[in-house]
Amino acid sequence: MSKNYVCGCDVGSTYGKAAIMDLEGNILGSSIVRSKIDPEETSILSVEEAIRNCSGNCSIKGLDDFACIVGTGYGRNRVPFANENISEITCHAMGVHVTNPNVKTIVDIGGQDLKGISIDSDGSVKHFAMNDKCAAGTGRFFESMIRAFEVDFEEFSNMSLSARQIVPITSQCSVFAESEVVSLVAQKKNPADIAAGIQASVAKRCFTMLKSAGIEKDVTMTGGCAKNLGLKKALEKILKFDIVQLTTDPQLMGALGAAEIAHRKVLAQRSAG
Amino acid sequence: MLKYRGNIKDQWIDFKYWGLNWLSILGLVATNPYKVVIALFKYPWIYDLLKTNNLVKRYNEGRNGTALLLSNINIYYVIRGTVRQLKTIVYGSKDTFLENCMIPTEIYQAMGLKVFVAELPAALLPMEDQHTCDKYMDLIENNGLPGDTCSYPRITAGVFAAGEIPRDVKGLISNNLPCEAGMASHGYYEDNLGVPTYRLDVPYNFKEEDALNLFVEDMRGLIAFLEKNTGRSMNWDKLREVLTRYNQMNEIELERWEMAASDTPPLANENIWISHFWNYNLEPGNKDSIEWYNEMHKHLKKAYDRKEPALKNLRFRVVLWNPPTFAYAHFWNWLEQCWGVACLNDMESFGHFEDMFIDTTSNETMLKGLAKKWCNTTMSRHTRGPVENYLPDLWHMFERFRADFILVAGHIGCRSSSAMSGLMKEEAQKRGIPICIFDYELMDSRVCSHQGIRDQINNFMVNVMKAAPLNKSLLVIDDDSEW
Repeated sequence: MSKNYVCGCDVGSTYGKAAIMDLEGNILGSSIVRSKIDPEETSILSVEEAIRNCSGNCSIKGLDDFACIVGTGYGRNRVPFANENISEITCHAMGVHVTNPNVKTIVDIGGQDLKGISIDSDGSVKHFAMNDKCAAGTGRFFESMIRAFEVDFEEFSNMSLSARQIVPITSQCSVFAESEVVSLVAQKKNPADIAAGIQASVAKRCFTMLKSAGIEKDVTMTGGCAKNLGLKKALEKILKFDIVQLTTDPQLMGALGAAEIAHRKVLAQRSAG
Repeated sequence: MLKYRGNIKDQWIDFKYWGLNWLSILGLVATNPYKVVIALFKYPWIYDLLKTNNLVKRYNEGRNGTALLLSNINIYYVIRGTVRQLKTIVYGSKDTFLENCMIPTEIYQAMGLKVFVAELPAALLPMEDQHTCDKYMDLIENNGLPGDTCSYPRITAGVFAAGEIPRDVKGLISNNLPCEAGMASHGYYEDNLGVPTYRLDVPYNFKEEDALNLFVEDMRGLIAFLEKNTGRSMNWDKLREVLTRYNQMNEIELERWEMAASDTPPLANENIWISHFWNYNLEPGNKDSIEWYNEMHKHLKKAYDRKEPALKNLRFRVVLWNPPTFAYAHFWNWLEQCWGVACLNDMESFGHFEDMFIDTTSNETMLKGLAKKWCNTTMSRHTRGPVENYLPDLWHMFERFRADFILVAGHIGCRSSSAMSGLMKEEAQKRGIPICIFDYELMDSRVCSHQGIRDQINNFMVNVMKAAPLNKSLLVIDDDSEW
């Protein structure tokens, strides 16, 4: 029986993501699961979950039904069933390109890194800039901020939208910024104003990465933090134009790009006979 | 142990230079073993230089033929030069001066003076062993020098603070090269030594005639200082001999560039910058320098005629900006073996040498030529002054050596170069030139590990150059077991 499905598996530092496609390029299912310590386990869990989430009359029963699986993300070399491993920078660019070909620049906020990616007209990477040395401006940074406020992500993401002013956060380092925020909360400063300060500080870091990669319209955000509305607003304020909202979950872009690359490989192999 | 290279000829090259290296080192000891023992107590870092043959092994992993031979020749002459420097401190001389690197050494040669380059341990030790200088950096940081200072002056100051740089010297000669951080540390040596000091000020607006004339006067001041403190006189005929040899070397350098720009460049990577660095900055015009250049050139020409490239799998031609990775000396070998990258010229080796032949007809023309040469030398031209001093050179290098991309070693400890990197990136993007700026610390691999450097290169090669590695197993290497 011919295998008519492909899969992309993005093993990130905080979440594992998987996307399944048929050979017409339709997304059949996807998943986002919390990362385990072992990247191998994360990859298995995310693909199993994506198979379960597959819609319609999809007949995928297991890994054997995939014509190609591409692993990506920091744990890509630990995806045991991957036919190929491809850098998440390339996969994010491709994922965004197939979702919205007008997007030329991405800011990707991952769990432990922050990237600016400039995309070429064919969806390949033109330039990129990356910070993977410091947690400032990454998902981990937001996690520590949320901990200081004792709220959930969604609440935090909307908090700054009602700010009357911005309380500047002077520390860039996640550890120092967390204690700065705790002190500000203890001083009874308006939480919305503090949150606006946090979002502004991360937006500045995102802008630096974008500038380094080269800003060209349209710009979008990917990664889990792309769902942070406060950050989106803060970055738009610095960029002085709107950030494009993707129609597919921005957290899935790496997995989707990996699936698209797998899809193209299978089509190329089959057309070559 | 010498690893078998797969053929007798290459094995013989390895063995021959392994033996010659040891003979050179023994040459230091043979004159007076007692003095050497004393020196080893006074300057214990000399022990670390005995790891040289190990460095050769790391440089030459996977290399054969002319590339292997040239690499061996390079290191052999570096050892000879180092032994010459060490003789200065081991056997002493009443006219020994301590100098900071990149001072017109042609003048000392003409006067027959002995100098010891204060930065020698900092330049050589991290190449031999990436962690050997950690203790010196820790020491000087404990004495108050900020830890984010460039590791080059940090190590030098650390060695100085440990009392392991000769102090019984006639004088100190300092300058404002290679950078301001280096210059700032010179005051510390001056205060501690309490000897007469001369400070040369190399202008960065060297395109102006007035600036060159000022520097000529400054060099006259240096000559007068040396004459006063040694009782010797400047020997202008000797200077002419030195500069004539330098001119011959310069001719060879330009021929080397022509070969490097060809489809089959016979010389690449560290073999370019090590030979240039030593012969243009430390001992230009020295008899050994011209012998070294001639010896390399003889083999280069043969390889060039045979169309034998320096790399077996040459896939990408690059030019490098900023100083190379001293604390990861064999980085180039990794680039070569993993990605097929050949670096064909670099900021330290690049200058407008076509215009830097020195007219030896009169004392005046010789000084003027020297002034021009030193104003254009490594880092003098490329890390100071206005953007016009360096950006056009980068594009010129890129085109001249037909590079596929630019590699910028983003030295974390250098504030001015990080600002320049930003400018270069913006400009390169406008021109559509792929540029890879990777973070590293010149001589401190604790700041950015070897794998940290490799990861950045891997990311660039895969994502921007869309390349697959020649050898996948080299993408991630355990730093303890790396070559």
